[in-house]
Amino acid sequence: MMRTDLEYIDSLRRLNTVIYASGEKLDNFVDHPLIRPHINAAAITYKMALDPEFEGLLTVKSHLTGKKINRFTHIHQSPEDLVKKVKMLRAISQQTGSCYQRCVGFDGINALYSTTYDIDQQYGTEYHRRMKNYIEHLQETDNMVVGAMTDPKGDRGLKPGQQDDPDMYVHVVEKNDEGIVIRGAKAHQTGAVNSHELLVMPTVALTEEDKDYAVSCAVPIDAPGVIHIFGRQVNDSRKFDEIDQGNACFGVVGGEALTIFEDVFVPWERVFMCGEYDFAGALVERFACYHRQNYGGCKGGVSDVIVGASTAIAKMNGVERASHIKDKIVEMIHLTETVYCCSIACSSQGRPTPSGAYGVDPLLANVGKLNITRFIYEICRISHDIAGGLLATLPSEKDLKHPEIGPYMEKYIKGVSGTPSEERYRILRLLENMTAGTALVESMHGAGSPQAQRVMILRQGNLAHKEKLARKLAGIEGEPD
Amino acid sequence: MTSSIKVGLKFCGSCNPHIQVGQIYREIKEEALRAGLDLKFRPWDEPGCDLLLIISGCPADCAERPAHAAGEVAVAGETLNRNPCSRGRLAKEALRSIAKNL
Repeated sequence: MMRTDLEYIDSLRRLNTVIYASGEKLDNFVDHPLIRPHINAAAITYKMALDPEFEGLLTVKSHLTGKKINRFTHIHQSPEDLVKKVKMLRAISQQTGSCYQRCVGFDGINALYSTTYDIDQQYGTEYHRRMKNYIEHLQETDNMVVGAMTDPKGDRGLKPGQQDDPDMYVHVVEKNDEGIVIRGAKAHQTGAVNSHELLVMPTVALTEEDKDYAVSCAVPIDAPGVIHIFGRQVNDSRKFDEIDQGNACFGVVGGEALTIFEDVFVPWERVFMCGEYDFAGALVERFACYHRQNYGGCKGGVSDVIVGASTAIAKMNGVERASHIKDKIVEMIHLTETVYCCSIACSSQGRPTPSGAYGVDPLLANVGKLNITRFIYEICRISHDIAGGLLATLPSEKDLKHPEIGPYMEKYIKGVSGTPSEERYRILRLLENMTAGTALVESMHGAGSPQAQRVMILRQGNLAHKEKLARKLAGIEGEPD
Repeated sequence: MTSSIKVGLKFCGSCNPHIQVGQIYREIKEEALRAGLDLKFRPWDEPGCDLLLIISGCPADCAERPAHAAGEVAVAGETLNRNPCSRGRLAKEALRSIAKNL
């Protein structure tokens, strides 16, 4: 079954999700101005899947059931599937200009699909069967899943089991015949408040002493003991306005939350790792690579909108023919397509895992995400250059609509003749929303901070081979030390 | 031509639309009406289509093809069946190609 966007939104109303925001427990989170834009963005992933123009990217045939499904519930079966994923993300971002949150759970099920297979091969467990059943359930319900990986971590210099407070990483506190009980928290949970389920995974490689932290499981978003504390964003009080939001329908970034697990029970059928610490590192790495693959797609699409907004504001300012403006627009396109290239490349070079599912090229995926941590800042910097200082000094929309001072705003915010002042105002607010504040930080730290990519790049860089090449050409005999 | 022809329609997904695929589709439909050609456009995966019309936003033409072997007409950016075709002529030429494939 594929849900419509309205069915998705209605389904959230039937949940008992516990959400706090700004010190308040939300009774009706679906219509709350802080949350609704993120729900609208996620709803687009349902709407576009049923639109003939976009279904070629957003739908696919399930390898488990043969049915047509939303791609966000699919397990990649080929490099073509991986490429389609990137193209899909770019196409959706072009419609939202914002994060639509479903990629994290998508990457979680793909990482766990191959990892549970590998665990079963080594230990004779039955995690992969459970995982396949769980994926069939997701494909049938079209549920939205949070990929719950990042723990609060406490003292970063200590391992999970060495922390003063053992809850700094999610861990198993009880096992019985029925299932397990977990405790801890996951931070920065994109889309958590408007999802149906959480897919818990460890966040670091683990050793035997951290066995209780090697846990992966699926939990309903409103399970007893699950509490979501919604994150603040730069300018989030603007969500109570209209034009000043910039992107009035879809908000900015994903709507992240701190999710607490206070002794949450999970039945065995939804447990996909419990104590197999030696597979935690592989799971984290696979998830990270899938997730880093995304950024040239989703940020590529977001950047398309920023390039469009920069072009529009240049025209409204009457400077679009200036050679330096054209050059800056070219630079923005160059950077956008560079990040897109990396995502397409790591997908094209995808490789099969023993489970039959496909993974991306890890080196190229990490190079791509590292570019994102720089190039999105540069794209946004150039957009600020083109837009001018009004981006940061524009008065409120309430002034624009004020009976006495509104006419002054109309008069002095005007650019070229023929363009209404309000249109210039709206484009500036859109640019401000997309390029200043929370969205930038997300480019830096989403899918792992830059150092995490550098570690993977060094590990995957095959330095020994490169050194051999150099020694051979230099006429040095023998192997390097 | 009097009998109705079932044309399976598939779009690529439009991540890089050099052309607006929905607009091209509407223009082809209008051209067919003008030419008196009775085309019934159906979802691409519906069995029994006489022909497949694939409309892609750019020349990459990456839409997946279904397994069944109906004839195919492919509009991809400003190309028709891999050959350059200007935006203004796309709908007319695509219809001509559809008629030729029947």
